[in-house]
Amino acid sequence: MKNLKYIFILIIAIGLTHCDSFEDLEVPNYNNPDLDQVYSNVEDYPSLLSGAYSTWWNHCIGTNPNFALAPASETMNTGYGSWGATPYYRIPREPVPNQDGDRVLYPTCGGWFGYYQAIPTVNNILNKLVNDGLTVVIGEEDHTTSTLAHAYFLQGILYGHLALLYDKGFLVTENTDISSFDFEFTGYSSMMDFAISRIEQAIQICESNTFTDPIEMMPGNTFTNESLGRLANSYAARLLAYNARTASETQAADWGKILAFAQKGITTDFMVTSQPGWKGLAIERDPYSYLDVTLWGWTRIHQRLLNMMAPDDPNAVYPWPYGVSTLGEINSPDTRFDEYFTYNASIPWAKYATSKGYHIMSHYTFNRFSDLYDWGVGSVPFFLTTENDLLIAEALIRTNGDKGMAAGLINKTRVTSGNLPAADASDTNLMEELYYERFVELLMTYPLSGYFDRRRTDVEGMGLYEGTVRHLPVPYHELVIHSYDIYTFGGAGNEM
Amino acid sequence: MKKTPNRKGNFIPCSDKNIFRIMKISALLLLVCLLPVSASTYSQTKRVSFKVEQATMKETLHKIEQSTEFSFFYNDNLLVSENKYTLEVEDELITDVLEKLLSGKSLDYVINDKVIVIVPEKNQQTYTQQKLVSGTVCDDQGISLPGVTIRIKGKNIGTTTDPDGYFEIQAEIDDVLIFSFIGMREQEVIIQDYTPLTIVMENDLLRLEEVVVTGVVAQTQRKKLSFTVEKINSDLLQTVPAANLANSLTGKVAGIKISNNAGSPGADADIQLRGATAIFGSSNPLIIIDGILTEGRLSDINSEDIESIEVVKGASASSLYGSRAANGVIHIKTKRGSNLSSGSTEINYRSEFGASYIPFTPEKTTATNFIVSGGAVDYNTPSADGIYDNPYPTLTDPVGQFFNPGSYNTNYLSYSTNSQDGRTSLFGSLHYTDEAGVVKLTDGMQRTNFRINADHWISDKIKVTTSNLYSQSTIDQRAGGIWDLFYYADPDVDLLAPNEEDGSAYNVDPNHNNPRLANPLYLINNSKNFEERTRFLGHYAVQYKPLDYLDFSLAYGIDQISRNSFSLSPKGLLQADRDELTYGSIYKSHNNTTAQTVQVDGFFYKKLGDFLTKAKLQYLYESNEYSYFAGSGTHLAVKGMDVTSLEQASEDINISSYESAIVANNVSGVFNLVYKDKYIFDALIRQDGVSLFGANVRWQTFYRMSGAWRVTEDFRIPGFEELKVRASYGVAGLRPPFESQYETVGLSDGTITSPVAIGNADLKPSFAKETELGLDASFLNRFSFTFNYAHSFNTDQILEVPVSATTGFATQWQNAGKLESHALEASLKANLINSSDWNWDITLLWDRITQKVVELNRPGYAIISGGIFRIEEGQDFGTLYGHKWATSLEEVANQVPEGMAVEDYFTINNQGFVVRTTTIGTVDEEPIKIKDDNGNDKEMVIGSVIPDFNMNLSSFLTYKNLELYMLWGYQQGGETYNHMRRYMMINGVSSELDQTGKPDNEVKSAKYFDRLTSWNNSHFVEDASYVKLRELSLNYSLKENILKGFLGIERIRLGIVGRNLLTLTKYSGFDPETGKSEEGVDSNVLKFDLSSYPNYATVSGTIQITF
Repeated sequence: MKNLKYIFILIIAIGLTHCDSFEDLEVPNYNNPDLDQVYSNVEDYPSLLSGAYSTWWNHCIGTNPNFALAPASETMNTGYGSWGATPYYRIPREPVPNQDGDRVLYPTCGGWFGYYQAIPTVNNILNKLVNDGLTVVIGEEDHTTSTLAHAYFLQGILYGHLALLYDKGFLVTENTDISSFDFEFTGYSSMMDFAISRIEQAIQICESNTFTDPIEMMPGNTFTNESLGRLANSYAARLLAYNARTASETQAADWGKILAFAQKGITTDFMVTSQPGWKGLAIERDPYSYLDVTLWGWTRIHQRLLNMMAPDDPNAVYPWPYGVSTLGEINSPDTRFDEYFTYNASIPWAKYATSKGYHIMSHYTFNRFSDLYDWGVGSVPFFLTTENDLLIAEALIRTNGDKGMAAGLINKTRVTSGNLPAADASDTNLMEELYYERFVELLMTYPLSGYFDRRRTDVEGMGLYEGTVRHLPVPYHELVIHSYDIYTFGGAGNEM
Repeated sequence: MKKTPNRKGNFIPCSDKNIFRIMKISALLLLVCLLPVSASTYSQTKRVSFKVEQATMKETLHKIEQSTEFSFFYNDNLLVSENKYTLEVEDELITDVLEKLLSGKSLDYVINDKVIVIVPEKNQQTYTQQKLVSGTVCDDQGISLPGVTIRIKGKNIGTTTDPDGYFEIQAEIDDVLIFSFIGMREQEVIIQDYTPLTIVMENDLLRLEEVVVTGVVAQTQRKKLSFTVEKINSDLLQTVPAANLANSLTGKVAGIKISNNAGSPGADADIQLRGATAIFGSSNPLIIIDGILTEGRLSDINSEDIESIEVVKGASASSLYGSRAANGVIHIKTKRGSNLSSGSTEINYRSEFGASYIPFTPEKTTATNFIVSGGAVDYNTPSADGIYDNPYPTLTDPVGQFFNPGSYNTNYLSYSTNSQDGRTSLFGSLHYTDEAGVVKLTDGMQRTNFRINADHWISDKIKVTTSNLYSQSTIDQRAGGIWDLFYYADPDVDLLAPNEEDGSAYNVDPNHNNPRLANPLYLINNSKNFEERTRFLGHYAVQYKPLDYLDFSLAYGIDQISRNSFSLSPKGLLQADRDELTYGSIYKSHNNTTAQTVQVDGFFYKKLGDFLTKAKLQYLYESNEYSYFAGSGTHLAVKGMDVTSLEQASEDINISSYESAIVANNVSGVFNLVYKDKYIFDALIRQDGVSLFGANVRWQTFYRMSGAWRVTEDFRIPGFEELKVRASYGVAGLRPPFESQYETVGLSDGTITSPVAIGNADLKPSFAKETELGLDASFLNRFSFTFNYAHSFNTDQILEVPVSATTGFATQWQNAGKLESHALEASLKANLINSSDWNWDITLLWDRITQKVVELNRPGYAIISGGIFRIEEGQDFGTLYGHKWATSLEEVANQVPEGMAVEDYFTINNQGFVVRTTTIGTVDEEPIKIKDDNGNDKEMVIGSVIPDFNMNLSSFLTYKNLELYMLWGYQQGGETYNHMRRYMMINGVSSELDQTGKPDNEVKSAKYFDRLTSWNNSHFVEDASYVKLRELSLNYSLKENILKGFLGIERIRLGIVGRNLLTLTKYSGFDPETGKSEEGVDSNVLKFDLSSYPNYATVSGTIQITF
């Protein structure tokens, strides 16, 4: 038994002198890959770009800033909930908060961090393909050109959306050494110029090559050089047109270039199938959360839009009369009114709305695409041919082109869907008729089309409410990190 | 209980209490260093046989060692020049043999059990000049006490009492004998003559002699600690044993806070010791159970098994546990058979049966602001004046319909035994609890626990100990997510009405005011949502004591937790807000945690002159593996409640999984030095190598330095038995979350999405660096007082720091902040009455803890509810932020139109709010928010959750066999944000809206209240001060003298137990202690009241039978 003591002493001696021989302290994280793993296999690059598309997509139609700017555009209402959104649509308008909110749910943050999140993936892949000369060979097939085209297109639309939303941003490309980057801002015009130049590079690749994507880049979309090229052209037109902050900037835009892009644009609706990982509900945070647009009928069509479609009906009075909590159903000459919207007088919503202000009262919920918005079934109509048509029509009008053709494009929905009197080239309010179609037909396709339209339109009475922000400030977090002063926009005289 | 100790071996426990064992060890260790006094009874009866030829004295002694279990200690110089001789001994007393051996050699011996010290005869001669003092020691019941330590003050002389409580010691007149015994108050007796003494030891009501083992080098009496270690003994825990052990800690230690994030049966509680140490991350302490470093919390542990709980609050004491211990340590020891005396057996049965109920519910309005006509509320037509003064034609009691007194039932059976030779002991218990909670139709929690603790001495020097707990519980979670649906039910709804659609029970859409809100009873009745949890806790140790001053141990511990969750919302249910039937949804998940430790300890104990030294070296290996997976989906294939398969789902299929592993190698050394029992010095250093630390900083150091001075050992202070001052400085740590050091890129549904977090190879643990100053005093033989001041910096806070968007990453985990805490703690224990029939003990605890974020190397940020809590450099940790309603005209001076005086433009109304003067008494009257100079509502501090102080008072009053126990809690100050009240106002059901019976000039309109319901504002910050009667019990014991051996029953204890019976507070919600755990901050910090299962009261009757 006494020998045991030597055994114990031995065990302790081994224990204390051979700590390093115990289990290694290097423990891998199997839950998520790191960048080395991600970029180690060139065959994965198309898949990585697909991931970057999903990041872009989920922030395009996600909660922020859409939840704030859609009601600020007075096309949709939130009805309830804030997350910093209320100052964007409260009357009178006021400076919007730019503080330490949630990086996803806060209006100033969602787009900024969302779009920038995808940019390094694109930059890294461009760097590997362009600067390092790698080729994407999957099986025995070379997919380098399609990968490059997608990378340029993605880089363009990511910076394009940042330019649309923010007054300025950091321009970081595949040629930027982030460790020595000076973090000087680039203004929204210059940033959009860069974005368009990259989309043009994508278009050029599509026009000079023939390819089919090796994978489905976005749900329901396996692109060819032709379909990607068309989408890129339409997108370039959309970005160039919507980048204007004011009517004068709209008039100063290069409409000839917009026309050229749009005329080479999409011929079928660009839609993304709703599936896990790809948000299917516009202004969605989580499925079936209370930030959904139509679930429970909390979010309504803005009374201003209803008034535009039924100007003579007293129940469509705009602004909503103070102290009134209920108005009757509206009769509109536009047959789409009853098709797209549903009357719902339920008291709870009105009750919340009164505490937020009568300016957001409305009884109409959005019924178009209800399967999609209520249940996530189907595809999200993100870029309709109607939008492309109307961009062509607007460009024709603004470039003194064929107004008859423009009227015809307007009538494609105005007459066919709305049963309204046909627009004519001679109409003095042809641009108003065009914007009417934009507000009705594009509602909730791209959630911010209404906001961008009101921001840029030169049609009297269709613009943003006085004091509404015309773009967002760089988020608080980013300014603090680089020791910039905090600033914001909003309120009369401080719109941009 | 038998009192026939039969002690054998150096530290075999064989007395009738665990404390006997501890004293036995103490006595032996003491004797090794003491001069000879007397042989023990045991040794005097021991016979030996051996034979030596031509052997030296050393060889002879060695021969005795080989053939017996005796060990000899001697100075080599004593035996250096002796002759060789032959000796044969056959079955002779060891004392006789020693006499023969040492005769004529100027040597003498000292013997204690199996330790024999050879000493020069001159020492003996010294003592022969002294006289033999003898006597017996017993307790106040007259039962003799074995193992009592007796020593002569100021001399290195001591002994212990034998199994009959008898002792002998050589002493001189005027020597002071000190009698000490665990659990008894130390006594000093001056020798005046040599008549036999009879010493009656009194219970140590103030627990001065109590021994602790947590955070120290070895078991140490509290009076010899140089830092704070609190101890809660089983008597206090068993009086009102809580189903959730965490709750039974409340009010028993100064500076402890317990919050029930979800108060439902079986839910874990958040425990905070001496404030929060982390801005991000749990403040829950490390919980050690019988040596097992556990991963889970306390909700699986039943109180009845607990022998004692030690609570280590500060970094000084907890630094021994290194990077796991900045939040403190709770060390639980469960009962063991070795606590019994040798050859005895005890069986305990305890049963408790009672009911739980909600003692308070927020009131609802009795009037509505809608038109009432034809005996019904017209919910489509608001009244013109918008005032809530139209009485509801019928008022129902949705609260009463929703809550239901639920049964509370526990049954407990334990069996303990200790073998005749004291070598083998066993403790086994079986415990079943069924706690229904307070929500109708729900099943609450059912838990079955099975414990076996077994100990065995393989030899006199080797002991094996094992502890095993298997726990299985099922927890009904259906009441978890439906609270908001309940609070806002109209005051006239009938939750029990059938559905008009299909006649099924519990009308799904009873709310007229807000049809979106479904009847929670319908949801509960038509769903499944439960968790099945199993847990195994095991600890296996071998102790080896080759020498009296040396001890080695090798231990393995395991904590294995498995949790399976299942929820089902069947296809075809009615929906409150839609005409369609539901498609159904299903969810399943599995979590598994296996945490293992291997620990090797080497312990040294030696008295060197006047210095008592203790030292320990320890190596600890830790391994923790966690895995999780879950699947869910909607649109189920078939209807019904029997659906269990995930394959039923056809839409929204979602799968997720996670796994992590932690490896740690830790080494530590602790050194403790006590000089003449007066001056105490303690130091430790620990190095942790942990896989969670960044690759560049994988080994981190923690340490402690502390000292204490027992003033009353140097100066006699009239009335004071003990006065000690102490100071310590210690550093402990908290580990980063698993994923924090890694560079990660997101994955979602088979797609690599985007970068998530930048890796950080320099990520260290956070450190709690605490200076503690303290004072311990006992005086007038009735009072003990402890005071602590602790100042700590919690540096290197582990925070997720946002990084520039241009990196593509969202965040990086960094050491990016510092918290500063000041803690004042005081406790006063008093034995107010102590007579043969009456005894009354009280304990008063007080603490005040303030905390501030003093450094934040990231932008300030806000959490919970869009930012009601703000983490900001320079702000208290626990600051409430939001908009504030003006209550003085100065606050709105910047809102007055040019040319007007503020007194004219604004007025303070009868509720104390500033309103526009012209609107008073009109429907447009509404409170005004404070604005900044740009006209924006000002974001500002609107409150603080930090209380001014907390107090707890426990009272233990006994009269003969009757025992009354109470525990009161008191919090002064501190605020809770009552978000539930806000939602009740929004939904038109809050009693605050009710204008019934108010004079015209006090009536407010709905618009007024609508305005008040704006997000995060000062109106819902409520004073959370309270006085609570937390525990109450009345027990009566029928003892052996009454039972007279009936059925072998030793004692029957009958009682009534109450928990959370009374709360006195101005707080308008269920409970001012409500908190919410979110975004990494626990519910002790975030006093935010929304959707929490409320704490409830329980009243029950108990019976305990001891055989």
